[in-house]
Parts: sequence; C-alpha cells; structure tokens
Amino acid sequence: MAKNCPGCGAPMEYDPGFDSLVCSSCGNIIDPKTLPDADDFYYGNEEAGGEPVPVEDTLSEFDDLTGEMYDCHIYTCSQCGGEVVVTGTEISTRCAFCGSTSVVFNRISKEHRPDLIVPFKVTKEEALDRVQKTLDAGLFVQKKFRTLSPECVRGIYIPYFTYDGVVTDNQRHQRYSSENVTVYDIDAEFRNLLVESCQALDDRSTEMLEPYDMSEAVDFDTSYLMGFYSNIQDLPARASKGLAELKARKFINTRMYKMPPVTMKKNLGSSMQFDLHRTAYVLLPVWFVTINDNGTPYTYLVNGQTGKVVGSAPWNKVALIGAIVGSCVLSTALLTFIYLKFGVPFFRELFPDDVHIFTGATLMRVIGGLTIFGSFSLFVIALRKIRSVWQKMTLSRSLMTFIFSKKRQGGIR
Amino acid sequence: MTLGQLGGLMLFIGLVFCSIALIILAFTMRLSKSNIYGDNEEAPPCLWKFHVDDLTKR
Repeated sequence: MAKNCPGCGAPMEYDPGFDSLVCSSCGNIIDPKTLPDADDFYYGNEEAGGEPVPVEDTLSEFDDLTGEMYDCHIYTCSQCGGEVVVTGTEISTRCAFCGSTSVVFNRISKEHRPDLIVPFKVTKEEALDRVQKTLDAGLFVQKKFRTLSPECVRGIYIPYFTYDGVVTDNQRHQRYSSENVTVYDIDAEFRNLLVESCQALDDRSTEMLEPYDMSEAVDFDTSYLMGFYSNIQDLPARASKGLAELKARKFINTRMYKMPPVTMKKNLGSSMQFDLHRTAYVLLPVWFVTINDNGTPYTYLVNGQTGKVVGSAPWNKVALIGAIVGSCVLSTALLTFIYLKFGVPFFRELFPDDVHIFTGATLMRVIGGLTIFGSFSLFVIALRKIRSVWQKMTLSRSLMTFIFSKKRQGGIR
Repeated sequence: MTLGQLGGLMLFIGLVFCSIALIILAFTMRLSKSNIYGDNEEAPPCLWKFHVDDLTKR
C-alpha cells in the first residue's frame, strides 16, 4: 500500500499543505492521481510478517456498496484492542487511541475498499497549534498541558458510512399548564448522515467532530493514505443502520425540543418511520493528539478538514477548589460585614418589638424564607451543571474504554 | 431578637447561600466554556429538509 518516488525510489507521503504526494528524500511533489495504484505492494512482504491471513467473508454486509477489496497492514494495541491500518512509511510505537506503547503488528488483511475519502486539509503543525491554543485558553489547566510534543500527533482516517433518506414522525406535545394536546406531522430528509463505523472509538467524541463538508470528498485513492494511519471498519451493517436511525431520531427530537414553547412541555409519544439507505463507505480525516499525564493518556481529536478540536482540558483541582472556597469566603465576609454594620441596626430600628407581628415582621420572615429557598434551588441547578460538566470532562480519557462504552450505546445488538 | 429581626437574619443567611451557589455555578459555566471543546450547537448539515405541520391548527 505504499507509493514510491519515481525519481529516487523513496517512500512518498501525502502532504495536506500541497494536496500532493511529497518525497521526503528528494522533495519531489506529485499529484496522487498521476501515480498507479499500488495496492499489492505489501502483499506477502517479508517485513510485514509472512503469509496473508484469509479474508473473512463479510461481503453480505456490503451488498449495497462496491465490494472491492484492497490490501492493508494491520497493527493491534494489546492494551485497548484498537486496530489501525499503517502505511509502509511509518510504523507506530504508540496506540493512537489510548496512548499505550503496546502496539504490535497483527496481520496483512484484505479490507473493503472505501468509495470516497475526504483528504487531510489541516497539517500536523496546524492541528498541534489548535490544540495548544485551546488548552492555553482553558481555566486552571495544568502546566504540563501547556507544552505539547509533536511526537504525540497521529493522523488517522476514520471509516464512516453515509446514509440518505426520509424520516416521518407524528408527535403529540402537551404543555404542563394546559390540557390541550398539539399534534405535529414531521417530515425530515437526510443527506450524508454520517455514521462512524469503527468500534474502536467513542461515539460521543466522533459526533462532536462533525460537521464535515462532504462536497470535498473525492474518489478513494490509496495515495491519500500515505503518511497516515487508517482505521478499518468493523461495525456490522445492522448495527450501522441502527446507529443511523438513532442519530436521525436525536436530530429530530432536538429540533422539536427547540420549537416554541421551549420549556414546560412534554412529548406524549411519537411514531417514527425510517427510510434510510446506506450510500457510501467513506474515510474522514482526524488528528489524534495524545498527552500522557503520569500514565493516564488524554487524547484530543482534531477534525482534519476543518480543524475543530474535541476533548476536555483537565483542571488543576487544588487551584480550582482554592479559587471557589476563596471567593465564597470573601463574599460571605463582605455580606457579614454589611449585615452587622448596616443590617442589624436597620432591622432593630424597623422592628423594635413584636407588636406588628402579622405585618412587617411576617413579611420580613417570608422574604428571608424565600431567599433561603431560592438559594437551595440555585444549589440544585449548580449541582446538575457540575454533573454535566464532569461527564464531559472525562471525554479525553474515555477513549481508553471505547469498546466498553460503544457496546453500551445501543449500536450493537 | 424580635421576629422582624429574625426575618432580617434569614434574609442575610439566604443571601450568603445564594452568593455561594452563584459562585459555584459561575465557575462551572466558565469551566464548561473554556475547558470542553467541540460541543455542537448549530443544526447538523445532514438534515437537508425539515418540515413540521401543526395538525391541530388545521
């Protein structure tokens, strides 16, 4: 699966900056489409490890696609089970998903040839720069995350299926304050609905990488893989369709939830009818930037087409708790000072005795009680927000448990 | 302490709790904005057409 320079014979790599294959030895720049496809280059290569492994018969999963195959070089991480296809020009020493160094050559395999590919537009340096800038803008980010090492960056093509089709629905909504039920007839048309088809990745992260501009997709050519990894698709067809329906349902429900009135309403029921068809098997570009924090890898994903960064920056807990406690002590001290200096004399003057117990004094206690009640409501809102943020903060670490999480997201049945 | 003064004390305690809750909420919102990257806010481009008909208005 490698392409060599016609000038000096050295392996060539795809350079997103030039949108061409570039020879690292003599600097030759060549349009990928002008070179013949060399799928058989590594087939039976001695360095690769002997005889090819028989191909699993999964053609039935691809009846609606091309069914063409191409040879590739598969490495497996013994830590997390992630599999990546590595080109002949770079050998991995670290798993791109979990950051573990226990990556071993597994086999040469024939894989289904993708229909389309969106080539990398963002270079390695740009990806690193974007992650660095976002980490710099973070609050209480630890110092070790302020300086990124270029060695921790990997460009990987992630396999996706695209789905086109129509979803119809009939939803009944009711406001909490009313008995009236509103019935909506919904008609949604999807084009290029992306379903990530690799079990080795957490769906939450890859969904956040979207959107991709599919108008920039080109016919698949192995030239675009040079210098990058590419992940193999391993999601069964039925599971893939299930995920497409799940995603479509989520988009429609989100859209309906945002319709006025946006609050105080409930969905009494819906009856979605899906007519989604798989249209293409496509590879999309993602940069993986891994930072090791005392054995815990943090992985940031960068959309290789738009440069969008996905992940979370771990905060310095001591600094954060210190800042919160400090702010609370300061505000409490300030309020106490105001109360003792002005509040106590004021209330003494206003309520010298309990004669007017059912007028001013009662009103005062009602206001005080309501304030305490309001503060507890604020605490509940704050705790909910903390829980939501906490879940998202583990995003960069959750890739270690990707298979576990994927199997529990309803994608595999 | 009269009942009116007790009400004043309750108001003070409530304001202290409110300020603490607001500080925690503000820090959490700030963390969410600056330390979590990639939240999708805009409508997905794959949703090509979306038509809703309110049948109860017919």
